[in-house]
Amino acid sequence: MIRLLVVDDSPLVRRLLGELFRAAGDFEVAVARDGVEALEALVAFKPDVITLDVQMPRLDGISCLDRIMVERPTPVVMVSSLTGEGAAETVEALSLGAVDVVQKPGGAMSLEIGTFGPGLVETVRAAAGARIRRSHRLAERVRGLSGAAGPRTRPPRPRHPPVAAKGAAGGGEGLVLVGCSTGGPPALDALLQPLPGDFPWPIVVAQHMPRAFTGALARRLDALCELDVVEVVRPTPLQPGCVYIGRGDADVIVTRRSSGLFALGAPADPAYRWHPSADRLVDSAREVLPAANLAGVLMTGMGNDGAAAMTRLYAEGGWTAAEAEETAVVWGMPGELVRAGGARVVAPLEALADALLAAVAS
Amino acid sequence: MSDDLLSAFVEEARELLEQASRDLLALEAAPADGAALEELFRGVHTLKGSAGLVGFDAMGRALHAAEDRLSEVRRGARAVDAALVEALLEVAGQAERWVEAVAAEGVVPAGEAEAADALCARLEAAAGGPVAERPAAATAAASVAWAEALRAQAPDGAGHLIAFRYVPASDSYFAGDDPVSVVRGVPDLALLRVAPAMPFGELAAYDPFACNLVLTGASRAPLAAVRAAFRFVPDQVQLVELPAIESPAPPTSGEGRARSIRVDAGRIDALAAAADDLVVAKNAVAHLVAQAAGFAPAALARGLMAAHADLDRRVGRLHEGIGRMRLVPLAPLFRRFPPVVRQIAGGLGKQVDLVIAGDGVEVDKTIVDGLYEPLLHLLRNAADHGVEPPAARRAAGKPVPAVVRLSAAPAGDEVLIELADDGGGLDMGRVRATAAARGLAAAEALEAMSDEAAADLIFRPGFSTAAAVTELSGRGVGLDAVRSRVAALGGRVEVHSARGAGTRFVIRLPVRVRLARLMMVQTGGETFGVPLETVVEATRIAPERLTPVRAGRALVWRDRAVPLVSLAGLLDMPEPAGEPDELKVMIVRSGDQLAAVSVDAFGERIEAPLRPLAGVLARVPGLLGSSLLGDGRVLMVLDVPELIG
Amino acid sequence: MTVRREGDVVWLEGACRVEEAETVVGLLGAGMRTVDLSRCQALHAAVAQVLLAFRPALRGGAGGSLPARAPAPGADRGWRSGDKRPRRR
Repeated sequence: MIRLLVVDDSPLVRRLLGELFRAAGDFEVAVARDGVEALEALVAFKPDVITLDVQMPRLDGISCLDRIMVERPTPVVMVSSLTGEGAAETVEALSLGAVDVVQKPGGAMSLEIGTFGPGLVETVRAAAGARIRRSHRLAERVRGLSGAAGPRTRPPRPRHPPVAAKGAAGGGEGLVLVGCSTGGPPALDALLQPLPGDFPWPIVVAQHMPRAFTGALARRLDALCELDVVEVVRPTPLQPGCVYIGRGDADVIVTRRSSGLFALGAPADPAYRWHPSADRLVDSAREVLPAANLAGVLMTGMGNDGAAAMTRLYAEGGWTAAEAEETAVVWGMPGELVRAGGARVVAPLEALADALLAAVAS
Repeated sequence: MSDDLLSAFVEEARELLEQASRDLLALEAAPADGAALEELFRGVHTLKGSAGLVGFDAMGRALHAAEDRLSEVRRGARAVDAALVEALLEVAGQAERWVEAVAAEGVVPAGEAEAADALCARLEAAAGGPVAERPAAATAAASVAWAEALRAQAPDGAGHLIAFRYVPASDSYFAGDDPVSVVRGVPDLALLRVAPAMPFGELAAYDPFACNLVLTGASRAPLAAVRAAFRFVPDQVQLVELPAIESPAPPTSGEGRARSIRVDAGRIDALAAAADDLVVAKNAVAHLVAQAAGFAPAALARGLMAAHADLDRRVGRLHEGIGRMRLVPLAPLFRRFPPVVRQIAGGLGKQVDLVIAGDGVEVDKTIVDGLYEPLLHLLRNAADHGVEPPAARRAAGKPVPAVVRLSAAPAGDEVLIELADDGGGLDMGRVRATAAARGLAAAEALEAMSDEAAADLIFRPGFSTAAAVTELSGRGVGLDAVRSRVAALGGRVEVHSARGAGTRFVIRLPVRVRLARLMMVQTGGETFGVPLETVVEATRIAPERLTPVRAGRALVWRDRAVPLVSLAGLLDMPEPAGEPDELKVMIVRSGDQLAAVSVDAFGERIEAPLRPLAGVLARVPGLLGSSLLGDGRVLMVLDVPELIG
Repeated sequence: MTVRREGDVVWLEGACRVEEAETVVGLLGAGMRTVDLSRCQALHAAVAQVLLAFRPALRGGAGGSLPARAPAPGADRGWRSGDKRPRRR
């Protein structure tokens, strides 16, 4: 049995989620009405996984999450109905170590529970098996504390020597394609933060996430990284030194126009299960650039999105990397890539940035 | 839905609402009370979620609007003021009534959309924002330029048609909509046009997934069937019923060519005024005929009525004929502008050529007279802000002399006046920034807004301030005045812009001042007019046919439960004391909803020239205009759907 | 694949879906000037919109892409005179 703690200030949500998970059969459910009760239950009930509302009385979701990660690191799924400014808080939660975020349906939850419920159960079940790493969490906390002291600025970093792209003499344009899902936001921090501002290849990211949150994710990464990070909201010409985050609940593709390469948001193609689809992103890039000019990175996440297309990419001579099992919150997507024999490099999260730098510079 | 889920909802909602009321009162006393604000926001947020949870969409929507306002306050984008607190208290009060209705009836009440709409509009108004424009009443027989233009193209234009204008949201493709397939679902399609909504601009960065289409067309199918085809996108569609038109009377002139004589304009005005008075006098006769019918012998009454009907028809024809005499060409008005534009442009060190087209189009003289100022304003704007300085034009590869085009074209019963410059177009980034800085809309709302919607903000009062930089006027100064002047003439104005390619203002005006068909109603001793096209039925109802619902009452009309409100209540007049033996109600259509409005008495139906309101009354919501009665009294004409809001 | 390039002509065939819009943009942006619709059965609005924006010469009827008796997209407006107009059915 998976021990689940549901934290929500609405008795209705508690009741609905309680019924949903008890009906799933493999959950033992306890509930807490606010952050303070949640911390008590953390010790008394010892949950395997927690669902946490962002807006709560006494101790709000973010502060509560912060305390959970100190007192008893436990996989947490944020259940958020906030959009707009709340999206920033939710993305903040992800970077504090929450494994995933689920957006409450906007309409009648009791009516939509039929469609919303199964995905939630699947997410929470996967999160229960997630690895919550103390070291990673501490780094985040230190950053959070230093950030609290004043306005957050880009952390100073020793300048790398300029990175020269391979084949810079001619046809030097290349592209990095990143796919990630559950546990992705902190993994993106770890991958993108060490990269220098003059990293020669544009980077396009497919992070499975609801639409409300990808903008906040891009803004957050932009503040943390030397690279410029933007959400793709219109056809955007690809530039070195920039990271392009695909908008949630839609796909992101790469296309060639007469003036060069563009990233472009596209309506979610029902042929793919997750969005933005890493498979669709990688295949669109394979159409417009030779494999040798492409690098694919597949990181933590449930399911198998990206594995098939990156395996094709590797077979054609492209460079691919999969996050190693020991650091992945969920070793689904990278695991599939490794099993399919499509990963040129398998490396723990903290080594991925260096591997990518070496591959692009070589 | 399980009963215990609902009872949990009621229990939680009562608690949250009680707390919310306390917080609101605390906020009213101390607007800077951050703790009260936080608690209030959280409470509203939770309650909104719970309302959604039990499927109470109307309540969820109202609370969502309240949450938006509070969110703006939290962000510091808005201060807590009395109007906001009052609107929020109203939401809390309604929510309490809703919750008690759930408690009493054990089900979520249906059909509360209008109440929710009213609250949302109320919150919007309290926020100093616009009361959302009412979607065009689909069944109104009003002629709309695009619809008339369509009819002119229809294969058999005299038939009864439902015209539609479908402007899909720009993210339609992302939402999974295929507008072409939607219109393919329209039964019995007679005509279809697909055109870009906005110029496409630079094709190098063309976004194939941002929908930029306008689909207009006409169907021979019944209105309900056409509406059903658009059921998933009702907010993106305008429907207009084009009734079958009678074949026009053959020209009476024996000679083939038009003859003309010169008549002093003052005489025509006097004649038109006399015709207006004649209409009023005819209406007074109608009143007497109705009275006489009560006690005159039946044969006499019938004769009176027939004679009156004949008089009615002839007076109508006379009025229309004189109306046509009042049509004057736009040329004299347009000819006043070129020297003015040269002078303005010269003062700015610019070269502007004013090109005039279509000045032979004829429009009612009143309208021509009222157009000078708004057009002058737009021309100044075009010269000052629309057209770039010579250096910028050269840099953009444009010829230095700019072209401003002023044109007019007839479109059915309307005339289309366009003023287009070939300047730099609206800088939408700046428009959004200015709108945000002026607090005209929330930042997220602005970001989510289509360029078209955002461009429309330049017409909002306060978009630009008097602290304008040039001696002429800052971009936007007085554009709200332009809009209200045009509205006073019975028209509307919109702006289209393409970056780099210029700005285009489009003014649509009625060609003629028309007679309105009104039903008179009385309440609280006062008489009001209501346009007949908004009244579905006027009927009498026995009180036992009413059922109490929550705070109000409803009646069953043609198998539909229709909420009942009193006109006195809508107008903030004292309610009549006591319960009458029977209720007189008019069934009124407001958007898709029906409402029953009770009145003290029905009066006769009249046709009268409708005068737009001027001065302070011009801004009163719910008033369409005024009309002169047979006995010399002024009749206020009500926009009942707007009153119900 | 419902978008096919043959010489200087872009063929739209069968039912063109929303995903194809960018493919058509790529071809028209690269200088193709003619689109053949004679084998096209249905056109997603996004693809029709591309034709409106890039104004290629059109060949072949609108097929079943739009309702009978209705002109193809843009027949009313947006095509330069001299361009071939889609045939009305």
